[in-house]
Amino acid sequence: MTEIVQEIKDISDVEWVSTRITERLAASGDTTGIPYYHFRWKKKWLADYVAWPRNAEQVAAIIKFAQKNQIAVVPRGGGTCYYGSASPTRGGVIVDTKPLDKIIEINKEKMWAHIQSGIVWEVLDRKLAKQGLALKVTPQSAPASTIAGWLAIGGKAGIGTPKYGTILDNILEMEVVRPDGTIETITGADMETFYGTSGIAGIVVSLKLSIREMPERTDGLMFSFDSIEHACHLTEELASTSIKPVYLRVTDPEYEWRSQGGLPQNSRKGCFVLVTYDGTADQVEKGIEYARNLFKKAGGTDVGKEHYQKSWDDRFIIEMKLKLEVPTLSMQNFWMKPKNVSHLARKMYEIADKYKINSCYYMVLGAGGMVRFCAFAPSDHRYWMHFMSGKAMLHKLVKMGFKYDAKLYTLGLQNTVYLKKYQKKEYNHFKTVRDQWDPNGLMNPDKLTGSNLSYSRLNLMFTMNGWIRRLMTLFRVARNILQVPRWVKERT
Amino acid sequence: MRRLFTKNFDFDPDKIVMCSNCSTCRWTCTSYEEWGSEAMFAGGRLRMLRAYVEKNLPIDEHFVEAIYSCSVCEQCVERCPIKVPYGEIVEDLRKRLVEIGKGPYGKLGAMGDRVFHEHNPYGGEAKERANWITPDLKISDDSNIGYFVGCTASYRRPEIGVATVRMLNHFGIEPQILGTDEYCCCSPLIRTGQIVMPIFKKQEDGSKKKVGTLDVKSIINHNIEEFKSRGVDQIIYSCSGCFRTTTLDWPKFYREKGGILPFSTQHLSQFLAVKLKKGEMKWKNGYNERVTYHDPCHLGRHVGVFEEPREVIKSIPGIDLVEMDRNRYESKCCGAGGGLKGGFGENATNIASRRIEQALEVGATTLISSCVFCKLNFLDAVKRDGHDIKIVNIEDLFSDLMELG
Ligand SMILES: Cc1cc2nc3c(=O)[nH]c(=O)nc-3n(C[C@H](O)[C@H](O)[C@H](O)COP(=O)(O)OP(=O)(O)OC[C@H]3O[C@@H](n4cnc5c(N)ncnc54)[C@H](O)[C@@H]3O)c2cc1C
Ligand code: SF4
Ligand code: SF4
Repeated sequence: MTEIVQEIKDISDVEWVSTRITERLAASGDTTGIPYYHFRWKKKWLADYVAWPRNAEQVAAIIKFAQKNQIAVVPRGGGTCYYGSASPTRGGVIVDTKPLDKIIEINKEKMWAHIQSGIVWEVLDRKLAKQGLALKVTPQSAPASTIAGWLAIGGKAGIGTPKYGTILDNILEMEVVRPDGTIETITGADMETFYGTSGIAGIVVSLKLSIREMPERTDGLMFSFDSIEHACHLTEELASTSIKPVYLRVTDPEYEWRSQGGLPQNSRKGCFVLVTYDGTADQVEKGIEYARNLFKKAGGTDVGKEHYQKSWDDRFIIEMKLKLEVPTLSMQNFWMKPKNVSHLARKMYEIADKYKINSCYYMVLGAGGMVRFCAFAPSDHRYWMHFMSGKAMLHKLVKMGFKYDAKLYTLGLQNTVYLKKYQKKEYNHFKTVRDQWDPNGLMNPDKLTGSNLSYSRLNLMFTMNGWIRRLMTLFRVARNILQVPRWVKERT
Repeated sequence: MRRLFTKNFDFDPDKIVMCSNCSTCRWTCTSYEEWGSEAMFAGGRLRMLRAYVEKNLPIDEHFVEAIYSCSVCEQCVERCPIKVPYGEIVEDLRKRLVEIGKGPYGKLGAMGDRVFHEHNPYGGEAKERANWITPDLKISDDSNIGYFVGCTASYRRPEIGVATVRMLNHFGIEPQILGTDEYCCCSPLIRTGQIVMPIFKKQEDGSKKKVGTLDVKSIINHNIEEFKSRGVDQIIYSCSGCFRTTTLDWPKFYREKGGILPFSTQHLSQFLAVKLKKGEMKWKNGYNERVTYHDPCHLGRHVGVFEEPREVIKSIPGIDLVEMDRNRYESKCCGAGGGLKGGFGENATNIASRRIEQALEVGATTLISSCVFCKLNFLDAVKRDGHDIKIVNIEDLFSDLMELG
């Protein structure tokens, strides 16, 4: 269905569009901020305009204006995605979807919420809670990210995903504005073009999201284990039973130690597994019992209720807590089978030891028994070699990961460079979507379908960096910036 | 730490890079809710600031506006996973802007001028500071308990000063008041970066002549010395802003004893809670209404006083205290603080109006606060938008129910 759209003739006349440098700067960055090294390769990293549309017609009007004037359109939700996903590379207009924050209807019989796409997860969750309702799935960035932002990155690992599936599994219908400005309502398989495609197929304006009644009980437990292999095996087991956890997180001891400011007494130093169930009191009890038995059989140690509760309460901020210790947090995240995680994790430790840099990981169970494995290289970008060596380690992990069938979880700008080389199938899919819906290449350019980086140059840079760092380590001039306890040094 | 940052706006980079840009502090931010732009919340401002210093961008009016459009309510600090001290950062930034002559924003500089000349930011004459005192109030010149009245009660809402002294008199306390020797607590100046600022006077020919230097430190030290010389060792506050500033900021400016103040500070809600606990307080009348309590940022989040005002309110016979959606640490700001009311008056009233709507949502017919400045802002919103709600402070309620008026 096409609707009549009021044409924008002169953008400076539009009161919901800004050309102020302050607003363009604030809207042009994401979790990576705009560090100076990004300025170089993001090219025109600063948007020319920021638009705050409030309905589909305004979104359509701004897209049509951009098409007519051949300027880039960068859809933006909470800006919490990594890898420059919602940042410009060719200036253009940032379409900030956060003013699209209305709840249109809540249907308690059919259990869906019809909402605008820019609403922040936490805000929606609080509003639903007032009516005794709850969300089925949310990303851990729920305090800041938007519904459509998670859809556009292909959200499949977070809270609720082991039990209720991906974000797409929970969307019944959506209203979108195509790159030519057409407004459409789509359902079923048509919606897939908007899943994980970073807005290249258009902007999602509103959607119907599946919801549920507030669970009677939510509870869980947390154990520590001697080795990462335990976690991989247990995650697989717990993902395949009939009582599915609502959340399962594995942290390595350094991650746990740094993020919680210490480890519980007597904990084992291999890894920590937190698992949470929700539903009726009976279901939760059964789930906990099942997990407890499994954990005990694997020789795990219960960290106690208090540490579990603290760690569960931290689920929304856990990903950022390493920042308590360092100014720069480089991270790479993979979508993979739990059984393969230990290979990657051990490789990470090995490289980090060789490079004398910090590294730790955490992973979360997603939909379909797969996990989102996040490898971190905490650093300080002002210590250039240390910082770049962290990046080099993550680069090596990406190259290794493909051997273990690990796909990159978030793509955005930075990871697009790997797509053509290692994820041909996904790359071809994105090309098809781009060619079909955005032949002018104006929707979120340089994301998914064509990188503004050369893989060979990147590879050469990181390989050389790795060699130099190795030499520095051999000659004992490489220094780590965070002190590590003895048990961390012995982990490999 | 090696500084890779440029000289145009030299600001400690360690503070900027602490922020992870996770935006957890966005939707609850007082200024983001009002302006809806990412340049108007802590994380967004830090991102913007980083670009300004790293790219050496010239400081323009929009930058100054963005930095000043914050009420320093510190909801962001509360939400932040890393506890980035944004309140301190923004005050530091404003100080820097004032130092380089780009701040304060708009007419906020007039506050500094007025404090320099008349010791209050409203511009009332210094000699009229104690005019609010009514003949029935018992004030002594030898009590060890003092009452810091503050500029808002002295010049704008005298009923608060009167109610507070009546309350103290009710408990047999005849406090010392500095009267015309009381100077501004400097909260508005510290929040807006006017710590040391040259003061100019316009000459007949249109040129400006420097007539002196505003120095917050000397004003604060004046107040401390005045109380000290009068033997006051405990000060009571009706204004949460003055209470916060004395408790948290004055020690940084006090030149003696490593900043340890020669007196203790107590907000009147704490004072009443103690009386209640000791069984020294019996209400004369009840209040048969559904009320809600608004936590002033300066009293709640900043100093951590949440329960005492609630204990006092709950003890009133017949009262039905309900909580708003966001309360205690999560409390929404009224929009008056941090220079927002002075610099962006209409926006501050919009913010107050939205807070009142939250009170109405929970069916409250009275909104109780315990800050002079919050009350002032709420009353402006009621006046402008016609909300059907009574706005009172704890001391007003006390004075009414105890028939002290
Ligand atoms: C603390 C923290 C925790 C996180 N936890 C998780 C997690 O548990 N699971 C997970 O998967 N990710 C996680 N992430 C990554 C990120 O938060 C999510 O991917 C998030 O869903 C992105 O949403 P956003 O609204 O911030 O989108 P943005 O970052 O603004 O945008 C993401 C992409 O979506 C596009 N986009 C935005 N809105 C629209 C729209 N309306 N229509 C079309 N395209 C659009 C943008 O162009 C961009 O390409 C986390 C990040 C942080 C900082
Ligand atoms: S102090 Fe308050 S108004 Fe200022 S940025 Fe933080 S939350 Fe927003
Ligand atoms: S919550 Fe803290 S770290 Fe996150 S954006 Fe705000 S100030 Fe930065």
